[in-house]
Amino acid sequence: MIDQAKEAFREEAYELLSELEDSLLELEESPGDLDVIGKVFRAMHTIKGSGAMFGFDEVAAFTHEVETIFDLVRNGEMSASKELVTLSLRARDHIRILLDHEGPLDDSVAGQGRDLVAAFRRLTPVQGGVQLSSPAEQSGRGGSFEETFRIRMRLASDIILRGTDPLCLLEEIFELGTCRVIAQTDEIPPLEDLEPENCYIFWDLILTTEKGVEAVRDVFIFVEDEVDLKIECIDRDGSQDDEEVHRRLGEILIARGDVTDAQIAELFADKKPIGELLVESRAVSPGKVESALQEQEHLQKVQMQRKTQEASSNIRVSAERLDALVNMVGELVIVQARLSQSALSRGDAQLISIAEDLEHLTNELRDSSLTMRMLPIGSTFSKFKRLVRDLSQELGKDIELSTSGADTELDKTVIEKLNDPLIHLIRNSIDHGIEMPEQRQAMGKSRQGTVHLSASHSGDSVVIEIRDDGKGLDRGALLAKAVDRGLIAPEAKLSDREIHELIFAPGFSTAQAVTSVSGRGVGMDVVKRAIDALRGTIAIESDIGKGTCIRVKMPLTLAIVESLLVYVAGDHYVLPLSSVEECIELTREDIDAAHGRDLIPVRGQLVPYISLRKHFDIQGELPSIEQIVITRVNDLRVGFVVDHVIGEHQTVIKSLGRIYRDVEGVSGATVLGDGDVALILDVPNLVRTVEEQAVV
Amino acid sequence: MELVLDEGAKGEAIVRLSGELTVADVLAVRQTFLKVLEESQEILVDLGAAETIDSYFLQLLCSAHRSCILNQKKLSFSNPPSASVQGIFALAGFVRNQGCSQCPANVKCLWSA
Repeated sequence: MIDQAKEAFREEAYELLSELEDSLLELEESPGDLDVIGKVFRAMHTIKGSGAMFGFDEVAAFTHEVETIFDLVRNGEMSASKELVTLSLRARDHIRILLDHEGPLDDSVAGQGRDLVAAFRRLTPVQGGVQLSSPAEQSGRGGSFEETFRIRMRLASDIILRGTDPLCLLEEIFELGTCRVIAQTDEIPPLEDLEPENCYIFWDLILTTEKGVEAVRDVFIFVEDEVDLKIECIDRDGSQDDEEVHRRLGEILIARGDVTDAQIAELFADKKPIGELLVESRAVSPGKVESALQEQEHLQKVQMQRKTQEASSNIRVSAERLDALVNMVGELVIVQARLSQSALSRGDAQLISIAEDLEHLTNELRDSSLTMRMLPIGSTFSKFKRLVRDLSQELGKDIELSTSGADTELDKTVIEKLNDPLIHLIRNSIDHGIEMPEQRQAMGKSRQGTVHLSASHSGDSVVIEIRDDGKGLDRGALLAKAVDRGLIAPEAKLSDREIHELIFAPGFSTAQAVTSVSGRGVGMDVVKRAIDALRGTIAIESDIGKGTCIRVKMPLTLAIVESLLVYVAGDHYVLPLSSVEECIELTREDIDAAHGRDLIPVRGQLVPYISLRKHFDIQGELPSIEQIVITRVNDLRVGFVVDHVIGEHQTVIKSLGRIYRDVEGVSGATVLGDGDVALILDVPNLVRTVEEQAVV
Repeated sequence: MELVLDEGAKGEAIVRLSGELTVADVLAVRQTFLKVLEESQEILVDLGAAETIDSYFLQLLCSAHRSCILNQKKLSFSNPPSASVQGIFALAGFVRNQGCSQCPANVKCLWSA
């Protein structure tokens, strides 16, 4: 049980560390953003607190040191310098090492921790690093739910007699959480009437805090008799009704008592924004509108953050259990297909009806279990931000990583398996693509290079693009290297696409020197193989001097795919439907007209085809009319000749097992309704094999 | 606190306030503003060397701005206030998008960004 709890903490801490990394990188971009500083602090605080609870004492002690520093940053006593961010990123890595570490720490890890703590202490304003206990620790409130309060603070005009500076009270409120404040200045008279030592201002505050209303009241404990204080809870961890969630400006002003329903109704016929109308009609002062607008904006932000948190937390189920569920659903799909087939062959109407109901339910179950495995690719994207930051620093380049489509969902397994290929592609862009800042400037480009990572849905696939604005692929250099390596003949005429794809050839590298960043030129062919193995495709577009775009197209899931079932000489095969364009007939006359070449005209264009009988050396009598399934791989159309096309099929993918794993041209198998096994054709691999044979 | 009165190229009065601007000096500074207001059409306030400012001083500036509006005169900051003072503007809720009710549409609020 204890081990389970520890494991659960580890999992949570990994997530927090990932969020921490994102927040630190965000902080580097906007060092003054109090929200981001708050996020960093909260992540540290949670890791520390939970770490101590589950016996991760080293994690708790080390994180405490870093948390203390961020408490200073939060209180404005220290700035979030680049140096602090770099150190904090290293600290984040160290916490990860501590989390994974079993048993007593060895000297090198402990030493690393001590060095980091010393470096942090050198950064603190007080030499020697006085350890402060954080305000979060002082609060003493057990619960951790967030509430948003609307506070109106009106101090007695002679508050100065109590020696209280109103700004000190505001500072104390700021320390409780995320706060916005608007001073209401309507009552300040002109100089002639001003009693300068009277307080004419009152304040509207919107505070989001985990510390509760009592903590807010405590701020005013010494001025209780001199303050007219209104505190209303306007949001509590999602417990508000939906109607309350996005309150309109007018509703906020009515709730505050600044304006009446009747005044709003009177103005409502006009089309102008309500705030503008109210100010024009002098029903309410601009300061109050400003304050209401701030409340609206603040609440929207808090609620958006909560939604994000809810979306990423939810219920925690181990990946193994999810995989087991999907496997069982896969088996169920097969059994259901068998039942449907059997019911049809018996002609039993009642059984057919039951089979149809089961089919309907199975399809729904299949869809929802596959959806459970879908994760937004954004979690992978955020890891790359760190990669780009560290690599560009190492190489002395200035590179920004921008991303889009982070919420595009892909099967968990696909995301995991894509991680390494994507890292390699980004490393390549940074190392070989983007030029040094001086070179870029000389070429009239901005000193900062950009790598843009995007994901989007395209049919039943997801397209991931890595686009850089670097120097682009040098056709001449690629050709020279390919000739040098004996990959192509010196007189070979290649299209741009073919030249660009040379970089996927094994051992191909055009880098002048081997660097630790993009490796030793063994990468791109490995990347291509990895993507092929996931039934994805990879394509390159490049414009010399302007940049390169690598487009990876991946199937949405690796568990169940829509396929086309075909039949060749007593055996069944399936082709992924995503790569199928159309099916046409192949007659004796067509074959004769091609004079021995495997080509067929399709609407004025010659399309090469592969006969599966020939390729797999299948004997037997040919049907008089065969069929060709036309597929498209990397913008290339290729046909596959089969005896019959049977139709669409839900293919539950099964691996072939160790012995058949390396069989070329086949990527897996599936079980059909009648219990037969059908092989899944590896279309890109078959096309490549045939292309290579043609070259030889 | 240190107060220096200056005159700009176009005859505008420049009120330079440096050091710690607190309630201790508001009476004296109010008198200065009243005097300058009588003599000049335009007043520029320089908080470039101010280290800190409290709420009483903030309301004094607001009040002076109001008097100028009532007398069809102008008051604005001559240059951006020091970073520490700008931080206090934000803490005190004196960073505004909308002007106040005393501000006519054609006059820029003293606290607008």
